[in-house]
Formats: sequence, C-alpha cells, structure tokens
Amino acid sequence: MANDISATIRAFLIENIFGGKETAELKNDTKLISTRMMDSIIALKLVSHLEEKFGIEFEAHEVDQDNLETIDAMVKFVQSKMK
Amino acid sequence: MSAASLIERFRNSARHSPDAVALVFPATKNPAEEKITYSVLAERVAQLASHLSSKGLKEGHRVAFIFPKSIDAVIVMLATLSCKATYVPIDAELPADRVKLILREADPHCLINHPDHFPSESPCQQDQMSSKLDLINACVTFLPAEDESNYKDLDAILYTSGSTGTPKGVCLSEKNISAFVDWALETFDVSNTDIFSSIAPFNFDLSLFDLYVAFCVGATIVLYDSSFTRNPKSLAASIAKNKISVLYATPSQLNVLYHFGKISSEDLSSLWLVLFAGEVYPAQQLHLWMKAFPHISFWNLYGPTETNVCTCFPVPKTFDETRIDPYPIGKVCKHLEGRISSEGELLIAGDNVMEGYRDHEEKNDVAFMEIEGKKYYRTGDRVEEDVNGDLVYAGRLDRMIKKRGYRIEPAEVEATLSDLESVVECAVTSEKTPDGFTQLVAFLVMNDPEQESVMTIKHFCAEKLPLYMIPDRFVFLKELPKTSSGKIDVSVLAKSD
Repeated sequence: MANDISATIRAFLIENIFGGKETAELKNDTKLISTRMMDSIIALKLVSHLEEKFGIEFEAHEVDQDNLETIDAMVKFVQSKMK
Repeated sequence: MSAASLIERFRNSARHSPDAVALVFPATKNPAEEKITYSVLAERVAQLASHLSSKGLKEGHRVAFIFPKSIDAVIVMLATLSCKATYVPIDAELPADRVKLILREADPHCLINHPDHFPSESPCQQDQMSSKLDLINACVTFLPAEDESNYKDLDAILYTSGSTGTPKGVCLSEKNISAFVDWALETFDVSNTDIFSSIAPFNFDLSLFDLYVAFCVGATIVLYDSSFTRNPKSLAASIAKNKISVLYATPSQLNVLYHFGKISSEDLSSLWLVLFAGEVYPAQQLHLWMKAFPHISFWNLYGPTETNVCTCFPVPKTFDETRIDPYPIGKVCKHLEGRISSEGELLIAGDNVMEGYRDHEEKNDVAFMEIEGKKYYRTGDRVEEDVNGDLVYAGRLDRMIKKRGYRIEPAEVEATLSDLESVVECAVTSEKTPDGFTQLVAFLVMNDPEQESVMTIKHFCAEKLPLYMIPDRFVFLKELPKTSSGKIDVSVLAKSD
C-alpha cells in the first residue's frame, strides 16, 4: 500500500512540478515546502488528489508543512488516515 | 474629504467606542484568539509612538518593518503614522536577498523587525543601537538615512515588481490613502457593526481598505496571517465562525476558498460584501461563489497600486450562467478622472494617484503623462468601453503578468534566471490553468542538456525571488524563437503552449 501511495504522490509531483519528466532528483526525502519547490496551490491540489484517490479527508489543521514536506511524510500521513 | 487624518480618525473611533473590539487575531492551530479593544490598541500605539519619537524618529522618516501579520504589526503601522513618519511593510516570508534589496532601496531611518525575522546581514546584528522593545515583541534599529525626500506627507511606501530587476517603491501620501478611504466609505454602506477580514498582506494595497476603512468607522478587523491563506479550510471555517461581513481578496484567494476550503458548506449569512481585485476573475469561477451565496454583493474593483482602486463594477445578482467573458472593471470612480489614450491605455488622474516612485525620476517620467495641466498615471492596461459605458479590461500594453493579485515583471524573473551560469537565454510568460489560476512558465535554453534540472533552477530562484515569482513550469528548448530584429519573440512562446 505504501508503494501505491508513494507512486501516486510521485506521479502528481512529476506532472505538476517537473513538467511531466521523470527525474531522479526527486527523492522520498526531498524537502518540498520549506525549500519552496511546491507552492501552496500545488500543495492544495495534491491534498484534494489524495483525498479523492484514497477516500480520506484532511482535517483543516492537518494541511500543514509537517504532513506535506516530503513524499515520506505524506505516505505516513495518508497511511495513518486509512487505518 | 474628511479634514481629519487617518490616524486622527482611528483615535476618534477609539474615543467614540473604547470598548469595541478593534482587532481579532485567530490562529490555525489554537482555538484561542487574541483580541484587542480600540482603547487598548490606541494606548499601545501612543506608547510605541512616544518611545520611537523619544529615540529620534521624526516626521518624514521612513520606518521599515518586517513582521508576520499580527496585532503588533498593526501597532507598528499606526505608531509610525502617529509620528507622521512613513511605513514600509516588508513581507516576513521574502527571501533574504529580496529583503536586502528593498532595504537598500527604501533607506529606512528605523527598522522594526520581529525577533524571528532578522534580515540576514541585518544592521541589527552588528549595530549596538539595536534594542529589544518591551512594548511589542520586536527589535528596533535606528539607521543613518537620507532625510531628503521628493515627497511630503507620505504614509506608506509599497514595493512592487520592477521591470529592471529591482522592486519599485510606490509612494502613497496621506492625501492618496484618505481619498481612497473616503471613496470607499461613500460607496459601501459599512458601519461599526461590520466585521472586516484582513487577508491580504500589509505590503499589498488591498490592506489599505481592510485597515483604514474599518478603523474610520470603528469596525472590527480579523487578521489572517499566511498560515490561514495557505490553509483554506481553516480560513473558510474562521470566516464563518467570526461572522465576517466584509471581505476583500484576490480572485485567486476566493477561488482557493471555494475549491479547497469547501466554503460553500459554511454558514456565511453574515457576509454581505465581497470585493475582489488584483487580477481577472474568470466569470465561471465567480459564478460558483454567486450560486452558493446569492445574498452577497460582489464588486469587481480595479486599479494598480499606483492609483489604488480607480474603477469599480457591482456584479449584477442575476447573471447568465453561460457567460464566459470576465465582468467589466466598470466605471471610473467619481472622485477620479479617467481617459483612454489613442493606444487604448487607461489613464487616471486625481487624489488617489501616488506621489511617485521612490528615487526613480526616470521611472516617474514614463509612469506619468501630463494632459491639459493634469498629471495622469499611465496604467499600462488597455481598456475598451462597452455598450453600458463600462470599461472592459483588454490586456496589457507591456508584458506585466498578474498572478494571485501580485504584479510580476517577466524581465525581473528573467534577470534572475540569467544569473545562473548554465542559462544561455530565457523568457518568461504566463498561462491560465483550467481551474482559473495563473502560472508562470519559463522557457530556457541551457548550455548543456545535463543542466536541465528543475530542482536546481527552482532552488536558485527560491533564494532570490518571492514565492509567487518562482516559475511554476519549465520548458527546455534548443533555442528561443526570434523576431526579425533578433529579439526573443515572446508572443510565439505564449502561443506555443
């Protein structure tokens, strides 16, 4: 399951940040928010995408840097919501 | 026009209703809210003003402040106005290089910054004159600065993107801001029972409405910091909970609230007035709000920072759902004068119009045009008049881009990209996504295909540019299209996607 979630997030980021071109630069621990790689609207679109895809809902306070900073953090968060 | 100054009108409201709540400052992670009444706010403003003047702050001095949105930030602005000084708001989230650039340009006599937001290589760290304030959580530094100024009675200098690669300081006098506030008070039936939101940052001209219109009538303002603007679910819930009645935001922010904040499921029965400005609002996106909240009056306000709002259009409550064209920007506000040049450019004269750019005689020469003894500001926007006599926005004369209400001179982004050694040439354009957001697209020619790293380029931009100026999409090309005279043909690039 973790692989599924990770692949979904990765595909979204490649499409929306890297112009659809797969890149080895994007790693599971690459910081996305503090480094300004991902702006707020892309982050919000990603949240909606994950909510739809995995049938979960982010509470208002959960849409924050801690849960969205890296692919790893997002996978962990989505998994915790699916339990 | 009211004879009293903005700060006097604030004090009048404090005298009139000392116990009314002036500011509310909610937090996304904490249900408790900070609140301050008019009397306490007025007292704290007076204390800070008296402290600053005892330390040497004088009429006409410039006070730069680097602060996240907070009650303290408002105290700094009002205390500055109390001293008849000029405030220069600097966004606390700007990269260090940008802050340095603005500080160098603004040449402040006094720098007040939140302890978490020391500008790097700040005078604060080296200068013994820097001291911690007790009155607010801030550090204050007095600096040697040029006293001479081309303009008098300035209240604020707001920095916007400049085409030569450096931000431009728009100098707004007491007369400019008062004229705008008086127009707003005449146009919108707001009162002390209203609750205003303050969503735009203080370096943005929308904040002049939020703060001074509310203070003049003695209304409450709810301050939303960037943690809310990034988290639309919290913002939507707080707008409902705080019974916001007057809201002024960019179309992007409204769009975010609708699409990501699920605002249509909130009870917004208190909200009666929504004003939007800063960019074109696609009609289909605006209709989503209008359908969800038919009781709200929506107004399209238009005007660059240099003129503040200079045209306005009340959106009719009955509307054609199939409409695609954006609504008009409306008629020129009645206290201003508008003209359309032979090129179709909208020209604006009147008390709203800025005194000029700070220390930029040559930019002023281009920005203004004298017609029949009157000084008109050239908006750079092309307009057409429709059958009802309303003005319709028809595009830019130059390449300026509006993204989320922010102005972006593509040349400024291109100048930054060109600083990267691996970039041979580049051009920046914009595109609209299907859900109504504007994106920046950078077209790049690299000297080695190995260097085509979005990550490296984005990191580089992030160190130099504000977040909204970092390109959203990168397109690597072997060469850029050229015009017959050898210049990069941006129009071909804009069409190529």
